[in-house]
Amino acid sequence: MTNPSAARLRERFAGSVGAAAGADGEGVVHVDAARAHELLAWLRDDPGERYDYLTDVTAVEYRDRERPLEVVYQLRSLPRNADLRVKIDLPKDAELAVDSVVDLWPGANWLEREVWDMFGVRFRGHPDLRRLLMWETYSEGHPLRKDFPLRGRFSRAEQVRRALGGDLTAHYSLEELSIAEAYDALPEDLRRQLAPRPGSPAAGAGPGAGGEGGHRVVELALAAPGRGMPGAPEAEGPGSAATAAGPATPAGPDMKTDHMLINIGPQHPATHGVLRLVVELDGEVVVRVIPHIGYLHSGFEKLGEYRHYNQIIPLTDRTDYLSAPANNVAFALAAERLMGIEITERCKVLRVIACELSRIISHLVWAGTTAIDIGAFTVFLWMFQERERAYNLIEEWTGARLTTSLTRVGGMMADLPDGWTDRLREWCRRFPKTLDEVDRMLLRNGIWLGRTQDVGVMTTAEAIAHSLSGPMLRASGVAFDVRKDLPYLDYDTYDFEVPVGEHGDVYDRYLVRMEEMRQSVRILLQALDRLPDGPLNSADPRVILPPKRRAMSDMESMIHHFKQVMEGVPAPAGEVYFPVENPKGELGTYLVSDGTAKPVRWRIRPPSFLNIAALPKMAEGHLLSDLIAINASVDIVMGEIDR
Amino acid sequence: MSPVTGSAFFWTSVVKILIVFGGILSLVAFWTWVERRGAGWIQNRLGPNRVGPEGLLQPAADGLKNFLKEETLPPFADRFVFLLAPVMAFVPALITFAVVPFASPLPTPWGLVSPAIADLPVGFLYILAISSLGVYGVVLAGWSSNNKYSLLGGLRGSAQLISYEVSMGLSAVAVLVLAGNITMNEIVARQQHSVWFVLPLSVAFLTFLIASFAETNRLPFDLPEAEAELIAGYHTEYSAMKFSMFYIAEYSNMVTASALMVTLFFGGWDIPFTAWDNTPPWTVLKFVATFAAFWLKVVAFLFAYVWVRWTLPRFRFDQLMDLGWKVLLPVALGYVMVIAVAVWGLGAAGVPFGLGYGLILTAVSAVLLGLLLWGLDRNRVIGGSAARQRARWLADAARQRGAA
Amino acid sequence: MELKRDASSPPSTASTLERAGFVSPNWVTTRLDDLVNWSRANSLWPMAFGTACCAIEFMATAASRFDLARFGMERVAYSPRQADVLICAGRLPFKLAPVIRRVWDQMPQPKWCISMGACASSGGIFDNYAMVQGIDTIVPVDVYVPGCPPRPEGLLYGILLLQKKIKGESVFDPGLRVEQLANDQGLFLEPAAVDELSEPFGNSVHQTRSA
Repeated sequence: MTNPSAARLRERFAGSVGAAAGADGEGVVHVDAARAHELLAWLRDDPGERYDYLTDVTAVEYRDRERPLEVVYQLRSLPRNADLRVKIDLPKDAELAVDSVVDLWPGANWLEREVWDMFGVRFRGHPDLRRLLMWETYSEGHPLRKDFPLRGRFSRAEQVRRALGGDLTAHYSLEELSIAEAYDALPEDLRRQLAPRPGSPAAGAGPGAGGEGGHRVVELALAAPGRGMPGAPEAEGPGSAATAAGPATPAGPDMKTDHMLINIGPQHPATHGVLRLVVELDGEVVVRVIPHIGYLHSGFEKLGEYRHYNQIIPLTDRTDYLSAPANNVAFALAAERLMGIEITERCKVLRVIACELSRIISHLVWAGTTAIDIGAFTVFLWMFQERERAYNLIEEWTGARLTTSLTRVGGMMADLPDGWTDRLREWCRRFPKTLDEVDRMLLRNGIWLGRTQDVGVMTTAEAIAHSLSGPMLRASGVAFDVRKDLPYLDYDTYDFEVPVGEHGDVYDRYLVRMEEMRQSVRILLQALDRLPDGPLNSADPRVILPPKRRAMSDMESMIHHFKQVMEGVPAPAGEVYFPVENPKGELGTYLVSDGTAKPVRWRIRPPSFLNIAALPKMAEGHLLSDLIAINASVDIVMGEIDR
Repeated sequence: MSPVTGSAFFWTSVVKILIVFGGILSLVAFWTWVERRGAGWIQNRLGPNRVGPEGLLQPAADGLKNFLKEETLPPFADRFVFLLAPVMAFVPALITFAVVPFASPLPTPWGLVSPAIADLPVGFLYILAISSLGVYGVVLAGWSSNNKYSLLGGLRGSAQLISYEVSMGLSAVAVLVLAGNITMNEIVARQQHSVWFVLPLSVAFLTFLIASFAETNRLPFDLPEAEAELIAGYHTEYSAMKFSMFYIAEYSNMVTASALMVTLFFGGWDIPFTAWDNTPPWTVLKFVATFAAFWLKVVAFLFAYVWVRWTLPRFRFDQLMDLGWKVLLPVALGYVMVIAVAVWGLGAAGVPFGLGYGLILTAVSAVLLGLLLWGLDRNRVIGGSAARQRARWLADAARQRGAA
Repeated sequence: MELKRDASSPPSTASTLERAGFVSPNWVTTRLDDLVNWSRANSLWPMAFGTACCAIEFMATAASRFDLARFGMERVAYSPRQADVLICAGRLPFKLAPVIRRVWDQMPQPKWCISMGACASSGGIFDNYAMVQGIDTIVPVDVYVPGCPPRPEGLLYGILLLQKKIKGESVFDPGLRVEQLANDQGLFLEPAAVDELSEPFGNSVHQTRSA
């Protein structure tokens, strides 16, 4: 118990705070469910604590059926640069419910919905507790519970039948259909179809209606600036008279107009994958936007519980597939901290190269697709040309273009091929010229400036409250970069700058990401200069396979090799949360081990999941075209959001 | 030689119609190929090159495929209007060209054949009248499809086309003032006797150019079919040949708009720096040479369309409206005043119509053009609603503070 | 397997035609077939149903280095009404299954489908509760492109194979494009066939035990 906050907590909330230990000095406290909300509020507001940033909310269920299910809040104090993990134990024989913290941190909204969806933990007072990743009428249960089979409860044919036969409107919530108020008056079959959920205001008194009632979250409470403002400047578009489900608002003395409900995605050119946005439009003005995710939910975290640690690495490729090497590094670092493995100097530098290279290729895709969304198609092709050159380098190193599986626990999959460093150096010399060319093409263009400046503004306070991270957070003026503030891989010894925006609009996000690419080139060159010789992999015999030559000639080595491959490497019981600065933002890997070779819980803290959750906050009141630009500026990748 | 009359007039007209419309449709097909190859050129790639020599048969393959594809009719679509809309887009795009003179008169055994299909005395009014019909195709397609994306595209299209129609007409008024006539042939003749109107009327040319990009729904004004926002806009629900008709209409509009710009501002079929081509006697050689000159200029403008498309991002809707109503319209209107006063002044001063007359106007326009370009530069005008919205938020916040 | 569209039968269609009693192949029909198939094969506008990693490789295929435009395919139709070939690039969870089916239904005939990547073809490494084990349980597939993700060269090869297949089709074959439900449950294959297609294989057979 090294974290000072824990001691103060124990002193203040005596009797409600239990003991716990995390790996290497991570602060973990167990608290009573009854006082959790009060305690978390105190942690946020106390001038000595100031945990203003909610990093993650998740849950853990152990294989040991007797152990209680834990709800985990990962907190961070940005001013004090300290982390704290608060856990609430929920015995399984009682009701699985805790108080929602959405009123403290709006960013908790989707995180808590995900926990409800995956674990069946109810959050009292949550304004919109619906399933998030699975669809609303999903009837097989809560997938991350241990009693849920990996392949689901039904036969495959039944699953296909239910998926195809499902009514698509069942994915909507009552609010989206704008009939929440009219729910009681709806015909019986329609009500059944709409699948009212506990806690929804329309379904009557839910569990949360009493306790924390009254705090409806701003973004869901239809408080968009454009709503119901007849004669607002933007409303001068074409008068909208359309198929609508929305409430009528007066738009002029004699004109009766309706809002239009429009469904963008999941298959739409501008949703960057299979995001679905339900948008309520007043003419061209976005009155409300409700993102729906889960259309690419692939069960990564469930699958991780059935894999050895090294077998999870190929899965990490496919979460954020735009920057696979960085994901590999993030997972390997977390697993190594869990197992207490030191990696070699050469390995560290190679991992820095992998991270920065993937930051560049990820930002390249972002710049290209954002340009397409704003209408400049050519930029996309220029960016992809550079990406192809980077692909060549990555392919030479790893054998794959996209899904690299570059790291292993304790080392790397392969060392660099001959002459690779020279080719990387040459690429680093040429690549910034393309960036300059794109800058010339876009930043001197009045249309581009008009489309990006002052669009989708997130203020500093909003960005922190919504738990944004990465370039999104920095564009809003928060100088937080995991590489600088919680350094890993010796990032503190590299000389680089962290670009920070001041307006928090689409334009600043563009500038921040463009500058990050240039800074990454700087880091790459420094890493190339300092690349030491020496062993690549850690000498730890637990995780590193014996050399092939010895495995083939020496019985002991062969047995060791066999056991490692077939049985995996057991990790000591414990848990670790390891944040890294990924291109999209802070990628946290939360691993819980019970001493076996497969993790009990492999949780990804997905940066673009939290970034896109703030889309309604950013886009409401803007025009439809701005919504597309804002969505692009968030830099989402659905593989990571939906997992 | 006197113009053809009687049945010879009828038959030459039929031949002209066949040749011109056949030619335009071929040019359209060819130009889809040029656009795709041109895009490849700008974007460091090849473009279609597998079908026929250098991919030249690609438009044929696309066309035949679309011809044989299944026609879809969405349920709840207004069947009649849904079928009518592509025709409404297609026909005006083609027949607008009828009054544009594309070469010097051609001598034939039956008399002198006029270079336009219909040498209407009200040629320019005809163009304004017919080209504004094209908007019906867009609106009706958007409305009848029973699709919200189509509807949004149709609404955007109608607002955009109607707005820019006004600026387009007003900027052409400057040409009419200077030409003193609305017959297309006369406008060409006046340019042959002084300078091309692009110089004395540079501001009008600029506004006309912008407006014609908007009228043809091309980037940066392709909002009605903005791919990233509205999928395919007003023609989202159209498949096969009906979709092809929208496609052909778009390219025909480009050809017509280019031909108009050439005729109004670039001397039509005039060959620069020589008077050989614009004085009788008319010969077949002159016909061929001026014909080539005209289409060369048209193709140059068509290429500009391709170039701009692969270079610029897209406007937002309110920016588009701002530009149309708050910039182009006042500018075009004011410029008509300036030109009218200048023409009156020059007439009062007794300056004869000719080269010197044109150069004086050129000097006046150059100053105005400089001012306009300075004003249109980054962020002075095209700031858009976001800036206004922020101002409103700030005002709201101030009011709330005041209330508290 | 009651699905009538014979996606897998060899290009020779003589027997089908005779059975249909429609028209016997002769010089005119084969010449016409050649012309029609030439235009169809060379103007395959893709409906890019991109979901995951494969979509990035699809983008790479469309970008400058591999340049899908060479085959006349750069006009990526985002409206299914204007598309000829559905390219399912990436994994397909059950939540997305009705979407791809609807997109497929919205595409006008003639249409084809390419299943790009291991996940679309078989579920790939995601043999779990969330993932459709192969899109062929939902839409008829013409060409499977293996790989995780396939390289752009792989996708291009798949497209060339599809062109070859199209060139062997006959305009006069009435049975070629008929699709119908296999049963009244809304499935396009018999339940047993879906189960069989979705069975675990390879390494994932063993991955049923956590710890």
